Amino acid sequence: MNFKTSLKFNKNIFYLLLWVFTFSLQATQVTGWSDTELTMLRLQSIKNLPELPPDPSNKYADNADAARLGHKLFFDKRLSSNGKVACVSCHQVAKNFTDGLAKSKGIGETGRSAPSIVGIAYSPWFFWDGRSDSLWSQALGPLESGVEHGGNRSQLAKIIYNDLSYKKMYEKVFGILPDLSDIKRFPDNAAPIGIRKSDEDWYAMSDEDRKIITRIFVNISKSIAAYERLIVPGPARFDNYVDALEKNELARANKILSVDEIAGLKLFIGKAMCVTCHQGPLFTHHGFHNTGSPDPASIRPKITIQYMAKKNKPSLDQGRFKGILLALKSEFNCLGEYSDAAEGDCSELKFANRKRDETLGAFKVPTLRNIVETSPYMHAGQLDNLKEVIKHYNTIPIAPIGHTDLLPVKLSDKELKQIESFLHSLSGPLAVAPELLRAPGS
Amino acid sequence: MVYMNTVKQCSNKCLMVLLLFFSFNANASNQVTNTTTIDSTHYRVSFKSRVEPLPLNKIHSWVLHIDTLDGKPVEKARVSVYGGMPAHKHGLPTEPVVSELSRGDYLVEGLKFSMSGDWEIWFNIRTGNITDKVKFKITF
Repeated sequence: MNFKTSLKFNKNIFYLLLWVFTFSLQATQVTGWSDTELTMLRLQSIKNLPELPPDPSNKYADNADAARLGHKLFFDKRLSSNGKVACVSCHQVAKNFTDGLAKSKGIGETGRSAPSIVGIAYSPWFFWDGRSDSLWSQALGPLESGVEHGGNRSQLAKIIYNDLSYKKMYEKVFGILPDLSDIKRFPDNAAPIGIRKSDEDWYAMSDEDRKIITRIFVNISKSIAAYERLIVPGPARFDNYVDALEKNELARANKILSVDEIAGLKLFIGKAMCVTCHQGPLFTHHGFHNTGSPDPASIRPKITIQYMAKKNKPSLDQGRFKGILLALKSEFNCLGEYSDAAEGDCSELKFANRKRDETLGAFKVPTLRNIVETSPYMHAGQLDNLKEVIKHYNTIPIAPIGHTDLLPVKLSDKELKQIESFLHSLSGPLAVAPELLRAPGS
Repeated sequence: MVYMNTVKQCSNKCLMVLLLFFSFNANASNQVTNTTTIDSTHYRVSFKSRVEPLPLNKIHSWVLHIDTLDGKPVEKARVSVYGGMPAHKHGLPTEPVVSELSRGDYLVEGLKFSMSGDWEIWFNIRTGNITDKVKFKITF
């Protein structure tokens, strides 16, 4: 090869590369986004949200009558020990189905912040620690928790049995209610909830009668789950922006999001790597990570400094490590007798990660849709606002328990503000019929 | 010089190849390798998903096939699996289980790739006194 030939070849390559570069630049200049970025944006858009996944463990999950019953139950304060707590007490519609508290309050104070239920039916795991593997088995927990509803399964079964409206709605879905009128067979407050009288009454009942009560209790929760499945997010400004980009309507797109919001979005899917975990149309991959969230006690201390100095103390929330163990031994899990699923439907439970070093201190990645409406943040409301949350993710915090997966992103103050701006574009009205967002008949 | 001559002969073709490369590269984020064969010290191992295209964030199964380097299927091997995302310092979101099918095929159930990025799946393969490791890279 002589010098001339080599030069000619190099020229060809040069022109080709110039053409490719110019073409790419033109494409980027038109929308401000590369093809790869546009693909990522489409994946985040609500238009990419699939149909609700089926819940094989709840054969009433998509039953409209069950959802109607669940809607009524969700708002009913009689489902508590003092008549003042309903599901909606902590999952308030106006606060995107949260309560604005660091630690939610029912009968007493809980250990965590109530997560939003918007789009929750897309998740394979429930509670911050994923200790339930279905929406209906999640709903059972608060009903009998002493600091939430403080109720018990016999009491709840009898509310259905004694209320003619409930009884009619229940029987339409689940068939004839058994006769619960014999107080000796079916005491008013029997349940295995760690309260002496309730426990004694519960274990004095026959196996068969305990199952009758538990089945009604489960059906109540399956109805609540059927209602909660209907609570899904609607398009936000972000989705309208992506829609405009897809239609090459750049002028319209640039009116939907501000310059800072667009810059924040670019950081979100790029340098800041937020999209790694907040991936997909619900802005979550539904997994669990230890993000090194501060120990709640260090934020709102109630205990001594001496006690705080101990590393990995038992009082620290172990998150997913404990959650998966609870899910595996729960009689209400996917493989249990109250589940409608076949064994092959329970892959999430069967193959769940139980490794201590990967689950200790890990919590579920929440959706970011309507996130500005759900302060305070993290599993126990440790951080008051989004600014604090983003600042937290900008560093590598030392996890108070276990170890964190976080990597430092080292954003400037301006970039942090841009991400915060972008998060405001994820708010939008829910795609839910208005009558489902208030108590039935109100 | 041999290299340069080859380059000269293919200069026009190279333009086309480069053009195709750039066209392909635009959608690279969605490309995944779902069948790979690699040689370890003692085995020739291939790994193939039972589901195509590879599902993101859904539990699914793969088949691992193990041959000796001279092409005979390896049976009754003890196979364990682990992996994760090295760049993110975390392991797999699930605990997959390996069971033997037949003629060198092993079923790997319970794999899930919960996010896009570079994943690694490692297998420890043991037959008799021989233990070997193979690594597969999967990119979403």
